[in-house]
Amino acid sequence: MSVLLRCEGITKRYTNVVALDNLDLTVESGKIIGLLGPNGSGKTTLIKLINGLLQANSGSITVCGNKPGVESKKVVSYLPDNNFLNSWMTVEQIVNMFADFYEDFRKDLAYEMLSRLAIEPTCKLKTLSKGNKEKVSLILVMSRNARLYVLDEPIAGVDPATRDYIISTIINNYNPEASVIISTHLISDIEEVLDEVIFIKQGRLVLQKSVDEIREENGKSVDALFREVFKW
Amino acid sequence: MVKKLIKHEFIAYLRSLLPIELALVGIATLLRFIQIFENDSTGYSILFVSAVIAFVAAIIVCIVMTFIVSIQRYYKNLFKAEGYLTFTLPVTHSQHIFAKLICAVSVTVATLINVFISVCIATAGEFTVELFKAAGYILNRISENIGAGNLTFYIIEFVIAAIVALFTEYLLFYACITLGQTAKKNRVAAAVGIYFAYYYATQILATIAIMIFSSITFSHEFMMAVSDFIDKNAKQLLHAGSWLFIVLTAVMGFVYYLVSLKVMQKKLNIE
Repeated sequence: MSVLLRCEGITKRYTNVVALDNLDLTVESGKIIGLLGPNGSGKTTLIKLINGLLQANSGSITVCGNKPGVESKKVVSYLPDNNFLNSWMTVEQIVNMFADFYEDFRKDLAYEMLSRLAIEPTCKLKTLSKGNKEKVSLILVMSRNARLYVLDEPIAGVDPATRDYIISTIINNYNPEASVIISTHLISDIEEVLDEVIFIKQGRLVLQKSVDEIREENGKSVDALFREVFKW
Repeated sequence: MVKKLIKHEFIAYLRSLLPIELALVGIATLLRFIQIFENDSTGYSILFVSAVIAFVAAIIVCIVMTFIVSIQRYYKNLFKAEGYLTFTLPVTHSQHIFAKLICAVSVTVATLINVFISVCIATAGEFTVELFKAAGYILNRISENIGAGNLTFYIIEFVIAAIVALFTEYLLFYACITLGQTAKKNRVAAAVGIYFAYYYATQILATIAIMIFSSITFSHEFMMAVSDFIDKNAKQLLHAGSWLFIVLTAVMGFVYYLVSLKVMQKKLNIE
């Protein structure tokens, strides 16, 4: 197993808030990892830092040995927690755009997944339902042969059937040499597919353990442990 | 990668501006067509005046929309939700700025050319022929006075200066928008505020500089020598002045570019 992501002493401050406080973290290849924590714990800030969308006040981040930048973006496939696609574009146009910019993008796989969902490539994104937009976003992100997939709240705000589809798409399409980081609150929905979990509280790493270890050592599910750790 | 960025940028521009540009040509053609039936009737006058108003409005809409879309492409594509995709493409920040800038300037120039062509279409006939003849006559007279070579250089210098000024003006807008996005809220208002604050600050500084310069008393001999030098080297000084303007404008543009780049690198804050 090789180290894909290394965060050392990451601190990120906003005006009056410390979002991440001296965070150390290592993510190895071949794992599906749950990035878990309550609202405002710093999950999205960490994800933005990994993707070069924010700059840390101190500390360092490397993805496959590179600082966030052009080289790291070539190997990170990122799904933001909002609707980030240009709504005036057709599905085909956005697929072509991904294929243009990402060398690892598998166009055939994207079209295969789209046809399975009966989403017409000629449809404009603004004509799609919220669920279908989420599916298109996920298909685009998972159609890349990336080293690290970073998915910010991929199953929030969609119906249970869509949720199942999203989870199965993640499991079936990620490169086994890669790792997937999934940030979510809906732990029970994804617990079965997780290999490892990272708990973050008030910008600090509380726990990083494999799911098997949690079950063996704590005799609890990840969901139950989360509720215990983050109990008010 | 810049080529790919430019390709996708142009697709976005075409979608927004092509219908308006085509409408302008259409209205110009209609205006010219109406003139075929020229007569003294009130009906014709009303139709003609309406077509002229529509044509002028179309020109204004075309120019204003080109400007708005150019600014909007920069702001929305980089600092709103679309920025999550834009900034995670394997592309440097400077490549993003260059692609946006090249497209904005190209589209603005294309719009101005389209406006010129539309005016030619709308006025096609004896008037346009006379207008071109008059322009040719004026250029010939200037050429006779200052030399054909000089005129060519002045035209080249004017075109370069206009294009450099256009690049710099867009870079100034980009710098203001990029600084504005660091605000927690009301980012557009912040960008507009920064633009006007900068504009008035430069005006005040220029006024102070002129006041200081005009308060200096030079000797009569010195002023005569300067006047004599200007008389003898007028053409060269005009060329030098043009290039000084071009270089200074380009330097200002580079400073605005650096502001945008550094803020993107250090203070990126997508909504």
